[in-house]
Amino acid sequence: MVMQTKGEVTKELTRAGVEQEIAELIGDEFMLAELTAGLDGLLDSKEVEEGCAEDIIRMAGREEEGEIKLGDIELKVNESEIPKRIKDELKEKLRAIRIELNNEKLNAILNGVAEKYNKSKVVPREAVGIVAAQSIGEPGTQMSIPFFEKIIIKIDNQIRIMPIGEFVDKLMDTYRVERVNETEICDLPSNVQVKVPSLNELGKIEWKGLISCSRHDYPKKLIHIKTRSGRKIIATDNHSFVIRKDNRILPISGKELKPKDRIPVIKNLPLDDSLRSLEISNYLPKDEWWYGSELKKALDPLLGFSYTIPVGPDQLLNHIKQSNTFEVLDGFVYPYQTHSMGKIPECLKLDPMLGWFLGAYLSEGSVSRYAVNISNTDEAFLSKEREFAKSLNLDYREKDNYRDFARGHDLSMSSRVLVEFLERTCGKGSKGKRVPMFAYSSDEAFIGSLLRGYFDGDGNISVERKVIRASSRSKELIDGIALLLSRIGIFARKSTQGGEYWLSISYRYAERFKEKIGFDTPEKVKRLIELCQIQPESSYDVIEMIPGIGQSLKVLARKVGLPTRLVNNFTKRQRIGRTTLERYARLFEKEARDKGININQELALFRQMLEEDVIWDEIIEIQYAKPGGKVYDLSVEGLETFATGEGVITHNTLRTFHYAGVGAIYITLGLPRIIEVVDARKKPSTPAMKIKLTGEYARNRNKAEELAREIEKTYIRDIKSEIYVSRKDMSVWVSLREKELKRRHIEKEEVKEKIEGMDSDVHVEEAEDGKLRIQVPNKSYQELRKLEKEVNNLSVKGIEGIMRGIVRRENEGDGEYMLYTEGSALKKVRGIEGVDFSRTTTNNIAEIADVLGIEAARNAIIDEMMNTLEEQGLDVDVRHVTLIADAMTMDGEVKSIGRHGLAGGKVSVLSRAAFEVTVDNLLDAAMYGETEELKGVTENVIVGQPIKLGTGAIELVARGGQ
Amino acid sequence: MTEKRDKYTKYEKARIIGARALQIAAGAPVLIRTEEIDPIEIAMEEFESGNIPITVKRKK
Amino acid sequence: MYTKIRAIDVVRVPPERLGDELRPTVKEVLQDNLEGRMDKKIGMVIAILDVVDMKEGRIIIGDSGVYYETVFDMLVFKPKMQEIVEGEVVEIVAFGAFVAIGPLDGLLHISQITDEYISYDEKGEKLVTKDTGKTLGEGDKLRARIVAISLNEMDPGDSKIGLTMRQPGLGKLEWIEEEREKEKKGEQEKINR
Repeated sequence: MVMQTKGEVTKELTRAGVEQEIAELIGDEFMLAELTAGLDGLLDSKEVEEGCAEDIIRMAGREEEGEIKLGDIELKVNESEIPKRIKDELKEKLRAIRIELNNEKLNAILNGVAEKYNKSKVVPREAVGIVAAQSIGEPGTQMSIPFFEKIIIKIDNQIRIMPIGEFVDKLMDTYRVERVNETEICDLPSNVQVKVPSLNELGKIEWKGLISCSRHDYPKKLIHIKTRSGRKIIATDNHSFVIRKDNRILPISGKELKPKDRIPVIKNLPLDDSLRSLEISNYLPKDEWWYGSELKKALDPLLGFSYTIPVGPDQLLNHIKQSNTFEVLDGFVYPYQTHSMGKIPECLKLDPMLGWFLGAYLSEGSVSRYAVNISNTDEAFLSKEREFAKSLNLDYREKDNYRDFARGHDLSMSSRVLVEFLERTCGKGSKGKRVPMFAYSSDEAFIGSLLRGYFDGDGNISVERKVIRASSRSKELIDGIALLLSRIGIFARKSTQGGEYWLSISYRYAERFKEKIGFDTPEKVKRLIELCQIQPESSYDVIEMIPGIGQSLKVLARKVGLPTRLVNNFTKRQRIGRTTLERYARLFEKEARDKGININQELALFRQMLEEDVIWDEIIEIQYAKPGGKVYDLSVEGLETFATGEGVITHNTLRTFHYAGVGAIYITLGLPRIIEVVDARKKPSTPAMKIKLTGEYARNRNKAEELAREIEKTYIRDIKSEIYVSRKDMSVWVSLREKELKRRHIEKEEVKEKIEGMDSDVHVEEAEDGKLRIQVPNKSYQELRKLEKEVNNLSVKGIEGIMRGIVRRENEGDGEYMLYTEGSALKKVRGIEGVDFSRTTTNNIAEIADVLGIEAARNAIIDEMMNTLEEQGLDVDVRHVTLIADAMTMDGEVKSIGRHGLAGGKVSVLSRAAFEVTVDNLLDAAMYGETEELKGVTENVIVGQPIKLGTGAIELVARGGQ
Repeated sequence: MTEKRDKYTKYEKARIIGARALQIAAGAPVLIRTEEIDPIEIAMEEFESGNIPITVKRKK
Repeated sequence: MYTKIRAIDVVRVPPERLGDELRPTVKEVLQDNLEGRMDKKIGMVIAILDVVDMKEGRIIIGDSGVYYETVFDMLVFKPKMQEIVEGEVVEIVAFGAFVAIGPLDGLLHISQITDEYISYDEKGEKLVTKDTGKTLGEGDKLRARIVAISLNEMDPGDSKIGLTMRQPGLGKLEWIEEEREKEKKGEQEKINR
């Protein structure tokens, strides 16, 4: 009897041999003993013949039916994607409960363990600690994009473009949703694989898996970013994006973005496995259309009982009796009604022919109920159309027309099925056409020919302007074409002109265009060749710039011995054109080669920069847009970036490694903070308070929020919708935003009072439309303008000094609510209702000394320093800090350690001179005739005497009577 | 002003023994019988046995 | 002039002497240190007489000796200007005579010996006057006045004391005696007449 083990040559099956195999596979002596016990008798059985070791294990472990076989547990655990150390533990545990297991339970357990493990896995370079940081954020400060913003996703290797809201809503309807504060979060189960195009640190696009998604209400304004290439993205204002800086790709908050910054847009979208063919049944349902294969099934009982046909049993009988006069061939789709010849295959191959046809349709095609019509006069174009029609065996007719000014030529193909298919996948009408979704997932050849058909129809080349352009009245179509172009690495610019959407491709891509797309129309072919021949040397392309080059060029120039002024311009502006960079790369390479210097590392960096899959698109405008509805976000594994439908790369925020933007309060940490404390600074650089609340306020979030609004400083400018001076009635008009007033719990009356409080002769009245009219007698226009400014900056509510208040809960679930503020005003928050002053603290030591006394200040110093040190992971005994605190506060005031405080207050001249300002101290001492008593340590060291401490503090005498 | 105490601080002890050891090393007569040859050891023995002719002057 | 002075000084008793009786040891150390020393202000220390009082012995870091602040009496010799002293000639040289004044020597310049003309007799190693034939030689005792002092602390023997005898009442003791006899005889003759 022979036995085969995995991939190995067949071996003689001996008892010992089997035992050994099993031992190797299982690696567990306990198991082995059990198994080998069952081996006897097995070895001779027929089932083992030509089986393999795994089977033997399975069989050897066979026990009662239904009970899990020991071998099975082993194998299943070994096969699962759990790391080794967990596997061993798991095996043990499972063995222990073997009796209670069955296959189902076992699978469930293994899946659960694998899922939990995968969840907790961290991608290298991912910032793990900050995963918790997201819970710090206040709801509504999460960064997200609105419902209608489209995103690119890939499910089962098919690329789809859909609005994020739609996508996330659907996910949330299907899978489990968790609520964290005001945000709903849905974690994707590990068996659901959705990928998004993600930018990695090398500037390349990778398809990364989606981990989870979120949505929440967002009442604030959204920002509207427009780029130079005509792309747009709308997001909340603290949504984070990515920029390129110092040759690294870093996140940045939307708030910090300004015009001239450059954000990444996909230039090249890779796809490994492309779609080869299409099942028509996905678009034309089987119960509305005749499918040859289904009819075949219906007619042949041997093939099973389930089939789908668009007719009832009676009609079917007609077919069976062959009394109907048409044939429904297997493998084709027929329209229900007409049974015409216009059939198309049930499974359409996505070949270049079809691609071209779709492109042609998109540019110059139209549909009627039974025919597809494409208008073009070019012979090459027409011959291709004919080829296509023939390939599908479709009837077609040709006719000249005089619809427009010049002679046109129509070619109509008759096929109801095709018409319907086109309508459903590509849309119809000049405003309704779009790139079919499946096109994005197809291979380069298909896409190339689709684009060829399209550009041959609608595209035009201008050699003077050095562009290839196309336009359409359908925005979706233009967006789609742009995205398709990115699938083959061509970047198109978009613009809008007079109701038409335009797309233009720079001559720099002409070569690539020629290679991947090409033209049929001879005129266009000629012009394309001309475009290819344009030299890109001297021109300056504003879009094709690589930003954030750091010092790399300068350093490299120095290394190869070229004057840095050559590259100073780029280093100063922190950007360089792509072709320019290529040029310099070649220059540097040559220099290095001639001089024998190795610059491979730097060249590799340049290669990387040149080969990035994104264009760094310049922001030309950032506007604010109306808020409304919910906003959404995705959490992507790895670097957390995903792309919108237009290819704009944006950064996710759920599990962000971007601390500042999460809406948390930023406090100085580490050494700078220690310096602040020890220097007894009157005002820390980030004053903050932690206010604990009393009673209702601590239990109820809304009340806590209310309190936060109360003390947060509000100025007129935060609540106004407009403020202006009216020449007509010589007064300042202010109109307030009701929503803001409500949100911050401010009454109009309060505002009125506050304004009136500005000066005695300020008079405010409310007009019927709700606006406030501020009148001050005898003021000139200029003075009123000044008044307008003052009113704008007038404080309406809140405590001076408190910039922002965030409500947080102690233990993420239970625990009382407390208020974290940016800004500190201990005295003033004392009397406020809801504030538990006895448990309130601030990090402003001077304030504590002022309000609570010097001993409190001493404790505050100790706390502050210990916290800072601990937070940095340093273990310093509290005694040392206590000593400092005591020394600083011993005289009843908080003294700094330096020359203005402790060190400078010393009596000894030499000691002061040795500390900081040497000469001045000595000079003054000489002038004033000071005496040095040599009592302290420093001065005795300076003069070389023993110090009066320790052994030096003792005076010895010889006892008499020796 | 000067007294012979039972307890000396570690600094006093160190100083005393040190000074005495220095004396012994410089040739001063030793006040106890000992087998030791190291001045510090000798001084320590003198100290332990209470035979040191040195004491601490307390500051007023 | 000899003086008995009571002085205070800090005495270092070296470690070797630590076992000995304190007072005598301190006196000895003092003597070793001070006797024979010349001080410009005090004069030359002839002898340490007594140790009057001593403070507690103090021990300094790094030093094996014990320091005693001591009050003691000592005998010093300090030549004073214009002082009349009696001494013995120890050496006759061409330019004058060296006279032993206490522990020091003074110089009696040849021009300061008599009002007469005096010269150096090499053969007899004496100073001889021309007219009266008075001589001054080694071993002669005389009375002189100190007119110049220059004390050398480093080398007491090198101190210079200048003397003169050309004042009434000064000179070799025999000459003073002779003068007195002559005056007494003259007085006697006056009374006799």
